[in-house]
Amino acid sequence: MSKIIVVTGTSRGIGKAIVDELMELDPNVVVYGVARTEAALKQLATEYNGRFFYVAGDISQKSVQEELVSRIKKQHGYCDGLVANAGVLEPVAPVEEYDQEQWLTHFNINFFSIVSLVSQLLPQIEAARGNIVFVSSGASVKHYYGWSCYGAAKAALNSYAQALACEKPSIRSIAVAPGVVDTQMQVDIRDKFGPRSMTAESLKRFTDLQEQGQLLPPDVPGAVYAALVFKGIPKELNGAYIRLNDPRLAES
Amino acid sequence: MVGKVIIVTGVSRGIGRSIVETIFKLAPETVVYGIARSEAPLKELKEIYGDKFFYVVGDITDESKLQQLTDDAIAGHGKIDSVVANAGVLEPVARIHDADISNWKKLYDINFFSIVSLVKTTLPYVSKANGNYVFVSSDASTMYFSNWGAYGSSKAALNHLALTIANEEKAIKCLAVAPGIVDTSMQVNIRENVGANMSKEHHEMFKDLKASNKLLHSNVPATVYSKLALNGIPEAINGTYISFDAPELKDYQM
Repeated sequence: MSKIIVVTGTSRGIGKAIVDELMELDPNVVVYGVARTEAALKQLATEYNGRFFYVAGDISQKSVQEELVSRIKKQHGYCDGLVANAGVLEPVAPVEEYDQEQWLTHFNINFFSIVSLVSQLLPQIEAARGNIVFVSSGASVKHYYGWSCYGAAKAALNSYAQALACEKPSIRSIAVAPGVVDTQMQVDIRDKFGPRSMTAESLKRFTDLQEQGQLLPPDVPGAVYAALVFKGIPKELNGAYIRLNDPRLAES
Repeated sequence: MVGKVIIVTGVSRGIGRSIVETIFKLAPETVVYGIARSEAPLKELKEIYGDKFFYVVGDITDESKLQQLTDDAIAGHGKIDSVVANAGVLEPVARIHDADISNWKKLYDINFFSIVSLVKTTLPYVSKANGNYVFVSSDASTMYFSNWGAYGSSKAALNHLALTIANEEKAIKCLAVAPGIVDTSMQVNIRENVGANMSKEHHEMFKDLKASNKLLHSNVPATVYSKLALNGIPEAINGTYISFDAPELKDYQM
């Protein structure tokens, strides 16, 4: 039976790479994706004819989550795993510029929508004894100037991954920081958020990595996330937060 | 003698009330500005502490109330030395697949977003005073308690906020401190109400703690929070999450 995997934020970057890597892992795997950009989703559906299905929309909207879940139920009736990848970085600003609406929007996308989607997919993923993989961030355990919102939401996500593993013994969960990856988010840091809202010192790390050609191509984390959700999270890492280069992932 | 001016949230009962009482016991010249939803206990504190205790009745999720509290402190005493973010709720306690996301958001409004708002509102003054932000966190921020996903994750977010604030704002210090398991109405709620939504094992554990008299009197963690607010957060642990009974807090304990 084909494995059914849900991936969020599949139009570009790490999310798209996860889809590509999953498709390569197994000729029978089926992926359900969600993103705001329909054109990119259509392209994936064409490329992976019959193996990629999607809902176009904002994952933080309940209606989008419900449509995704109901499509899976109707078309396949089961689900083996989820990679919660969709996420945004903004607002990037020091705490004294706290804007409640911006923070709520951020948490809706980066945290609450994930909690909501997981609770809706759990019955199927539990039945399949499947895997739930969260794209976290090094920012979840460090401070970056102006990243108080993003960092806190990722810290909440790590905590949630742990609670999920403890509460639901028939599934495994893991939160994985992807490293600094060559995606639009990094472009935005260098060109937009950084100059506007970060200190020169805090921005330098990111511009240095890019200048030295050390940004990770998206298929590097993509392959790790794909392997975790498809082959399974190692028992010893169930509920953990790890970085991409954790030696315990060696066999994945 | 000009005492410190300290803001404390959630002062009507439990740890918050003990913090107010302990602050005045340790340093009677202190002025405390408190906020809570119930007016009666606030009036009581006013009666006891007279012109050393001032209050705003309101919900900490109401940004206008936080602004009022701040403005009152500045108008009344011209400075804010420390802020103790204590107010918090436990519910919803429910299984992850029963997660009612609107209840999670309400919890986060109280346990997290209101605290970011409080920091933003008070920051100009606490910075000027080279003051301290003390957050009441929880063991649940790093440990699993059955069906406490919302609460635990909100405290993990709060710990991270302490880390960022301490590093962003060099003029202040910030510390997230777990109080232990304390004999307050939150524990009553666990034993008699939401415990039913927990695993039998964890529910029994909390009931046993009460039965064998192992719950902390709120004065115990309150002493740590009060001394941190009065005497300042040690530089070595600035920006971290720590338990009230950690050795690094030896000088702040009862």
